[in-house]
Amino acid sequence: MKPLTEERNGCTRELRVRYSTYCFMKEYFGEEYARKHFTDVWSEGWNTYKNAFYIQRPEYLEKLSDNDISNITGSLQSIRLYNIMPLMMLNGEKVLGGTQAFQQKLSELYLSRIGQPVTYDHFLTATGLDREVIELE
Amino acid sequence: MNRITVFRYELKRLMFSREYLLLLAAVTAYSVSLLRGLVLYGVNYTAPFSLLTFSTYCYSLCPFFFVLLLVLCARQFKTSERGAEAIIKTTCMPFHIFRLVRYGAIACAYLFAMVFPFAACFLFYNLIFNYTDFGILLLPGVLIVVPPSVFLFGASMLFGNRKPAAIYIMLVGVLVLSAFKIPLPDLMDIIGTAAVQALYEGHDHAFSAAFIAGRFVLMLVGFVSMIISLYKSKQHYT
Repeated sequence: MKPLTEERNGCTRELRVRYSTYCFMKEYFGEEYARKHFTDVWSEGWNTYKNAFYIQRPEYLEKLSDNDISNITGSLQSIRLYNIMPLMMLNGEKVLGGTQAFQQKLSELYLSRIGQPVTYDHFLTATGLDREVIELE
Repeated sequence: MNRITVFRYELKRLMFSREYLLLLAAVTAYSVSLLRGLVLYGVNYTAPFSLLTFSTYCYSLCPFFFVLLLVLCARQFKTSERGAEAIIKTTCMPFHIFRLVRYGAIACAYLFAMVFPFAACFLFYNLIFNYTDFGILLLPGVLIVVPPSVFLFGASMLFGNRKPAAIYIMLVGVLVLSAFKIPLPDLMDIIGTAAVQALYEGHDHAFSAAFIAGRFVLMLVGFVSMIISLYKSKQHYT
């Protein structure tokens, strides 16, 4: 599979929005609602991503022009950002022992970096998580 | 009068008509844009040569094909053509045979326009992806495009013979169905909206039995309409 580009500026901002919206909805409307409208949709996105033709057969990308490759990888990256990474955050929750513990780490991270960009590496460092541990299989 | 000579003349008249050339150019331009903007990326992240992508390609081209076909049919019922029929009646060729020759010319001109985007797609697969297994794609493509074409051809010849405006009503119907992607029941899914939608949602990996049965019904109705239109036209002009 293609390497991650979570280091991209702004990606953690999007991720934070996705994750916080999910947490709010789970709290406000209940777990069933959050599962139906968030985690199920993300899981579907993950299935689409891992079965995507250009992920399964990346050698075909070499036959395309740079512009086409950029469009295809951009589209796949958006699935990664909006569906797969939120699922990775849920994996992180499990590893850290629950939502409360995970949110505490996130809160500390964002408070320590107010007004500064937060990258994926900052997130990993602050939470103490390994990329491999939270990566989906 | 030699039938082959008449056929060639009619075919030449159709293929060099302004409407045909303009619509053929539109079909070609649209098929190229689909190949670059849809097929290359693969529909729903499937392979560019998957059943879903190829069916979507054919489905997207259907309105253009059908408009071209109906415009070719409408040409046959122009006032000038109707006027010429009185002269044709005086020739030794029976009028229903002349009609049949004209049908053949329309079918050939239409087939040429239809084969063109198919060939472009297969060439695209071969050149970009080295994919040559076209056999498994050809049948779904034919199922999507050919039966409704036969149906529209037959219906336009039958109704156009009585009321030429009927062809333009059918034209509007085709445009409305395709522009608004109105899903029809599988049995009468002329544009193929419901079939492609089912493939897109991943409910089936092939067309439903009702859809395939519907294709046979459309073909049958189309052929019967064509035969009736021949018979009726013979009765009308003799």
